[in-house]
Amino acid sequence: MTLLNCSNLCLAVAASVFLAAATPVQAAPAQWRVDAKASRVGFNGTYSGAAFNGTFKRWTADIKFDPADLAHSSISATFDTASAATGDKLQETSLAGAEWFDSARQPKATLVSKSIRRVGPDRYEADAVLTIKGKGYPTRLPFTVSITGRTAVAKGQVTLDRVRLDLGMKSDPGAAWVSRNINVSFVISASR
Amino acid sequence: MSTRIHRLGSRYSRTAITLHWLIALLICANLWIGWWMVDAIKDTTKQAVAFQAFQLHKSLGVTVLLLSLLRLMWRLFHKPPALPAAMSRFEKAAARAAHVCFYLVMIGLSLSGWIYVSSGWNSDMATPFEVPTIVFGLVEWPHIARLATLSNHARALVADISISAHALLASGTLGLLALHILAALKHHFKDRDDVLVSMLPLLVPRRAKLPTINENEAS
Repeated sequence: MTLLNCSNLCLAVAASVFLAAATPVQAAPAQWRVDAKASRVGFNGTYSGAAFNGTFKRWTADIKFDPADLAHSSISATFDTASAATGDKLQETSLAGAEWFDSARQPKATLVSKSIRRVGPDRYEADAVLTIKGKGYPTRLPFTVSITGRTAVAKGQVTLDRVRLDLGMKSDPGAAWVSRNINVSFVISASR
Repeated sequence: MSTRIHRLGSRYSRTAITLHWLIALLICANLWIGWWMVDAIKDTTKQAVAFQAFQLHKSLGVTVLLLSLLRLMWRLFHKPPALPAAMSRFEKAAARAAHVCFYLVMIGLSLSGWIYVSSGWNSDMATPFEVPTIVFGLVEWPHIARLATLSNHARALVADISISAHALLASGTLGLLALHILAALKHHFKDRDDVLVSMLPLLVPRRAKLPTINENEAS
């Protein structure tokens, strides 16, 4: 009897220790480490009638993602606004200027997800807040994720309206020079 | 031969000649580009090229400003060849005045253009228009500090005055150029002196050339 009680107790203790250890593991989706070399955050549009293609040279992302636990998954990224590069010094200087990213006073722009849902096989949509020059804009971000073993590749594209984001609104509010629509696309390779 | 030219002192130095023709070429190119681009920027079919032309115009303008300051320094520390003794006092005064005017437009044109772009205001459209100056697509030439942060009213005023001065100086330069070229041709073909040749690269002044020709004829 005592022996039985003891073993029951031991079992209960062991089970609760196991549960206590296991529960947070299931609640926190895997933290993914971005492979910067294989990742790219780009943007394109037109400037003075000609297409431009740019990338952010410096950014970081904090990704917690589990397709089976989207409720606890989150994505947040921080962009160094002065690192927006198109290969054209005139465009790059303009982008860092006061009416665009105002990089001297606002060195960072951020994207933080609020919720993520599945919209198809490997296809997801995040409701996120894009913060530029200290002002937040709700942004819907569609993306795909394919996971092979311990590595994942996420791809997505979103068209942003620079008028809504208060970019270049002093010199070109009518989009006579720079297109209103800016396509932002990303490929992010990460491992866990 | 070059030692003889220096002894005669009838020629500008190689530095002065190089700067003179380089600046002349840049100013002529910029007058043409400047007048072309202000019309082309309003034409949707030429707008994209005109936008690039503005950058080229500003790049050449910055180059003219720097070379002109170099030229002015040279002029302050060197004595140019004496004007021919045959020139009247009035002619000499007119020549000097024209040269002073050239220094004024060389520097005034670039400065007024620089002030205009620094105001970040489009005088034509009466709207803010901030475009950086990237010299030959390589190096950013700064705007004059704080002009673009003034009130719109003040920026418009600065832009209107500087661009009017810029246009006036451009027309003035054209007149001055005509006068300068006509005077040089008059010296060469009518007065038959060394004034034109003293600023021409490669050529040799008449007085220096004559003995050489005589030697050739004698042999």
